[in-house]
Amino acid sequence: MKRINRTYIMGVLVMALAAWIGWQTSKMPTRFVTNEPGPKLFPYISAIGMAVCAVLSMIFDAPKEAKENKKPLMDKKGWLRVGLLVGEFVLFAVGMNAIGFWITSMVGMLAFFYTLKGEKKINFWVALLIAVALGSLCYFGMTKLFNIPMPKGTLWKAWGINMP
Amino acid sequence: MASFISSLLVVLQPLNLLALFACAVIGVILGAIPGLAGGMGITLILPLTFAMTTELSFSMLLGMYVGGVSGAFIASVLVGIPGSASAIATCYDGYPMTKNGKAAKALSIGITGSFIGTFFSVLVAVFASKFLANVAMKLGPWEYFSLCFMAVSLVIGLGGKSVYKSLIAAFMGLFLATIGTDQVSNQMRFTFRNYNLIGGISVIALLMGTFALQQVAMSHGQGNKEMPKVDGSKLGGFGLTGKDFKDNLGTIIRGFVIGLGIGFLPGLGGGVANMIAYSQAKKSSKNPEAWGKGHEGGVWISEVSNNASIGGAIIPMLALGIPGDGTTVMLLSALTIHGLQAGPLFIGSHPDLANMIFAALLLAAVLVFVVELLTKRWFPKLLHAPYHYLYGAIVMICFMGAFASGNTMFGVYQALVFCVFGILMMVLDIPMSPLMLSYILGQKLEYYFRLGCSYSEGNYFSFFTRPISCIFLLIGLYSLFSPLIKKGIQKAKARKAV
Repeated sequence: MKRINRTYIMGVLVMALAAWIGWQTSKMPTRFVTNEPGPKLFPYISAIGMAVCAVLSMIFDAPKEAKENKKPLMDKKGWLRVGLLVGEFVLFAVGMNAIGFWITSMVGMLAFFYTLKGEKKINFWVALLIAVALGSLCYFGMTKLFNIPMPKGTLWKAWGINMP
Repeated sequence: MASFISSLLVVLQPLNLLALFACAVIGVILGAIPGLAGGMGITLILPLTFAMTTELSFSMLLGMYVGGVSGAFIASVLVGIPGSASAIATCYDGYPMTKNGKAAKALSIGITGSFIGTFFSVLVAVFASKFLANVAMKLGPWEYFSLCFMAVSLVIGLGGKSVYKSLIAAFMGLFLATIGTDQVSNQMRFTFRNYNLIGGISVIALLMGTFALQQVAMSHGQGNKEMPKVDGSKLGGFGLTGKDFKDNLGTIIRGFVIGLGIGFLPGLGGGVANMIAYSQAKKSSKNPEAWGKGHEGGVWISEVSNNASIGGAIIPMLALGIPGDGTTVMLLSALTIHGLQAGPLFIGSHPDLANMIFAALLLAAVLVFVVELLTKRWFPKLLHAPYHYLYGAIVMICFMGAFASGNTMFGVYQALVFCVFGILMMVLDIPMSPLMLSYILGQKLEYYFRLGCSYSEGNYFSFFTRPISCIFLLIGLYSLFSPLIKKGIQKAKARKAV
């Protein structure tokens, strides 16, 4: 099967982004300012710059890429692993908001250890100990030592439970 | 001198010294592990410094910086895999030395070369920064705009494989910098009535997402790489004599000068310094055929040059507010977090802090030298650190830092978006360094451009009519277009030959 040239995909995506930036910039209210170009200039420069360079890249870089026959970054299994891990990142963020940082950090880290270990075998109790110790150290270090608040969890708050 | 000594005493206070020492050791460990590097360490501890004193924060950050750059040679020498881009050239002769049974000597050269590069380049930076800051005081918005333009152009012109893709990255960074409240007119741009975006994109979330989370995800996708086993029993002793220094003095000086100069140029840093210094030294060697087969000079030049780029990068960071490499981008962000603005006024208005930064760098270089010499025997163990535990902890710290950057979940969501964005950039082969530098300098670029226009009553040509500004602009334009001009000349020559 013929592989799609990544530079063409990049070019189309960048041009779409540039068009969106240009459109959003054009919607900004115009204010009269003397002797200076105003707040629209740099967004326009970035949009036009991106679009022009995307076209030039498709003209000059794409044929080179086709000749080079570059290896893909990783196989399908690799992309699946990336997707799974990014999914876990999203779950971690959701958990942080819902049940707070302390519990999420411990449970989330344990999940990360198991996802990241690959084919290796790890001792569950060691992994659990590291997750609990590190999660608690970070949470209480930030909240008690540095006085930086961490999310306590919206669910606990809704249920009237006061988390440490 | 009295100010410098009092700043040194601040660094020597027990808590600051302990933080400097601990972070220098962690930096060496992270630097030694391929794929992590000290820059990752700085990203992770940056949010922790919010609630600390500036002195303690910079003791930690600078310890991590020096340790991270220095430790990168360990994997290069022992297994032939560079800890970071700054130690690629160390592999060429360091690993063959290990295969020839000279691992102990190669490590000693790496340790000593790192120390010489860092220590003496920071000494140069102490004097050069003050001089440059005095010169910079005489510059106006025209010169500053042109300087920022030159900095971004140098990264685009010298950094990536494709000029167009580097330019796309730079324009993306420029766009990200425009998000939030416009500094000149207070106009909201791309905020979509979201109050979290009024202050612009969070630099911490951007770093966490595009640098740390993206790296963990992609590294996991590409599969864990097992390191070969190394015998640590024969790594004791210093192994260097006065004759070794004498024989390699020219190489050391050459590496130092190249590293310092390249470190000074914005956006290049140790990654480029060690490659250029190595190729220059090899070309000018009496027997270039010996290089790449375990030549001691190869390790000297690479390690002295990449560490000398530390001092080189610090000079424009403190004196002009322009980062010299990716890590100084983070240090510059740390200054901003602590309410300080690096630039020509910084050294004059905060002489104690400026001297404290130099003192911390010098002390970190000495500490790293001593620690590395004493623990040389245990270096092979660093290469077998359990990645799953390390990466798992890094991800958790990233989320913690992203939240702490604004005390809202919005920072965490931004980090997630930037993680996906970083993966997409990697897939599409768009380099990240022009984007980061353009993002960091974007606000300054716009501010000085509009201020310059305003001062010269709308005369855009004023940027070319002022000599220093014109020189910076011409260098920037040359850097941007020289690869294209060179290609055109080569094609024309090829056509003539046919």
